[in-house]
Amino acid sequence: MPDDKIVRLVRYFHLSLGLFLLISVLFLNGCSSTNANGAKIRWSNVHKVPASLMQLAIADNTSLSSTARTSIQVSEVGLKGQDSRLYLFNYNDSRLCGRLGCLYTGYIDKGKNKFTRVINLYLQPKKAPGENLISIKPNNFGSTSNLPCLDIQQLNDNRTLQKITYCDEGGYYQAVENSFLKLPTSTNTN
Amino acid sequence: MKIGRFLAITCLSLCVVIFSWFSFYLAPPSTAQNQPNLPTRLNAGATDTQLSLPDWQRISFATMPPIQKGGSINIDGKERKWKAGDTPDKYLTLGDIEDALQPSLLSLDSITKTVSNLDLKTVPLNSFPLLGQQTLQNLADIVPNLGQANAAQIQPIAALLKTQVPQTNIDTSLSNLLAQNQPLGELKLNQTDLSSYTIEDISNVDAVQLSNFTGWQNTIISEVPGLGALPLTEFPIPLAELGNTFARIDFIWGKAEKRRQRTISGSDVAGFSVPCSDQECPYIELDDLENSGRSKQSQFEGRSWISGKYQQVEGGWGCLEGVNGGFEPTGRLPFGSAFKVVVMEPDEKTDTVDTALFFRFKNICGATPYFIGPVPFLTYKLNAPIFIGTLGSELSQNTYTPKPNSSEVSTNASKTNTVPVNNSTQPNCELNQGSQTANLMALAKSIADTENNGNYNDVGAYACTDDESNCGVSLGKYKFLSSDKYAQEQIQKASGGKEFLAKLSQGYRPNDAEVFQFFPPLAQEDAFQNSIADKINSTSQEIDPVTKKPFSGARLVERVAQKYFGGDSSIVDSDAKDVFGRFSIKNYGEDVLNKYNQNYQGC
Repeated sequence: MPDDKIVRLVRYFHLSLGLFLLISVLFLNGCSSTNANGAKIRWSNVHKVPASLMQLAIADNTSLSSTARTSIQVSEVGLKGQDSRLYLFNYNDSRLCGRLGCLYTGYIDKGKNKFTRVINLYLQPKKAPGENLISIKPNNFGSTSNLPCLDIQQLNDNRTLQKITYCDEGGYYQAVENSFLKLPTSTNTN
Repeated sequence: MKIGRFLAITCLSLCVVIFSWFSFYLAPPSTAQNQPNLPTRLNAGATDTQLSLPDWQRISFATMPPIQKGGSINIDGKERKWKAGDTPDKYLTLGDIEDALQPSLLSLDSITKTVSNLDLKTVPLNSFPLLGQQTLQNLADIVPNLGQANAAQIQPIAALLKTQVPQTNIDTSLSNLLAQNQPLGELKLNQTDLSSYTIEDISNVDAVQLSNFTGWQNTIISEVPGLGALPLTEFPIPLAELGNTFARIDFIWGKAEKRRQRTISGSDVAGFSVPCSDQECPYIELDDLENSGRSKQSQFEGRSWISGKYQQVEGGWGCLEGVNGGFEPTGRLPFGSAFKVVVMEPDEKTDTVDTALFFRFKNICGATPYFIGPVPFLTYKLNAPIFIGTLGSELSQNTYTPKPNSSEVSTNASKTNTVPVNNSTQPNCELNQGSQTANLMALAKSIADTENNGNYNDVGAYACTDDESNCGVSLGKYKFLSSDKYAQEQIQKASGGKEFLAKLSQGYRPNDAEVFQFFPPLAQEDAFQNSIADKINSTSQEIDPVTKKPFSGARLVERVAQKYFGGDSSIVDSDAKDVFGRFSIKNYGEDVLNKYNQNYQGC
């Protein structure tokens, strides 16, 4: 017949183990969701962007005059272990939207006021509710690049969502993964 | 004891009563239709009526009823044939159903997860001919990790290399081999006998999305393992009912009927209210489900669904609109654009009417009319409920104007055009002579041919540009945003168009009928041509940074296409790519120019 104390200890042990496992599961689940969805980027006005970069982003990619810059939005992303930044531009102008979507570009800061373009794509700006057009996620594709990967989500006919992951390959973003998700059936919104 | 017995007997009686009531309630109505070989499901109607619909979850292309008539046509030099007795998986290609169900997004792996009896370890490689048609270079590009695998270890590829280039040392990675000897990349897998291999002999091929295989559009459904057995609800765009309107078949009228004006049948080109006159017009007359006579008049009381066996209407669009003379049986699209539902033979003697499905072929530049059928569908008795999908513009339209021929379209479009645009439908040589003009019709067609257009009744997502100040819903074949000025110009011409636009700007999602009412096919074509005409006019006055002269000839065509795909202020010859990173704006311009030149080979 085991001692009462031992029985109590075993009970406490079981209880603690259960609690530990519960907390671990919740914690890991939180981490994996963050990884799956990526971090949302925030667009803001361009006043913090160096003037030379603004001029470059307009002259390189558009036939707009410099007066058009007010509608442009930018998102700054810090790079892993570096002082430099990735600047993503949303031109946000119907004159830069066609059948392929609207223009988005990205530049990295090379120091000494030098910038290199790393991405220029046309994306359909429409989004599913609660989804992000562009999200940042760590590069888990075995690359040594400091640039994060970009998850780009595109709506197909309101019923499927296509996710294309772009990662840095040799100094320029390339599509490395392409998957699709079904969306819940939507109803008519009167 | 007595109380216990009493309670037991009372409970038993109650159970019997409840069970009987449920049996009666759930039993199909006496007027329910027959379903030849088609599983159905019951839906509860608003008025306690049980409404029967096909159970698409248990229906696949391979289990649909066989087609009753054979035929063949020639598209792009390729013969498309169908034999009486074939199921749709035997004659439809992936391209035919892409708009409706988007099979291109599937992979063998995703099909296997749904089709339970499909084991790729036992499926012979030659039962997937699309795989055999791929070049080694394409396979190395699209199959994950295949390039890094040792070529000698990939059995079918090793066999191909041994038969085609026996002297080559293949004991290296496939990528190395192809880099060292580039012509090997052009070898196609089916250049060797594949009958002794299974699909799993090429690792990871099951993960490849079908759209990555070259030539996927022309692949017959039955030639993709498992696809024919995939339930129609399991496609990336699941087959489903559009709308929720049911009507009761009030009368069944035979061939003696010669004139019906108020109809709910037609086509996605002519609209769904095409009258029938000066011919035999058998039809079914519809009423609300309640059968309460004229005391309660529903919106479609007295409307006719004309038999498509007797009445043909205009159908098809783009480069295939002339197939079958440009006509198809009148009917409706209650389940989307994959197939059309047609009333066939209303029989006054038996008070029954049978319906059938008709399919169409599609390619990148157009769609045939829905004329491939009949595939027997549901048979209905008098008073049975019939699903008619969405209903809207049919109720307000009592007249129908046939579409004008293409020269009339160009005249209409030319109203807004000025000097440089030549809208003649006849080929000319002005482009080659370096003139500043471009042929509007040809350029519009070349641009439309370059992209995968949708249907006239498509409704896309709500989207905004210009800092959320310019919002609208994408509409129709050319996916015009409702905030686009060319679309607005046309929509405002319709009665109530301004109010409709205001609703769209708030995110309202219109149904098929509303798209036809406010933005009918002809208006869509006009909007498209007007937008191209304006781009030609403005571009011809701009200086080309490459030639330092105004845009003209081939450069004018390229630049107009660049503006169409990338926006009017896109940089000339932009290297910005589409979302998949495949083609740049410059590539799109070149592609359109090639197509434009092909249109003028006769010059």
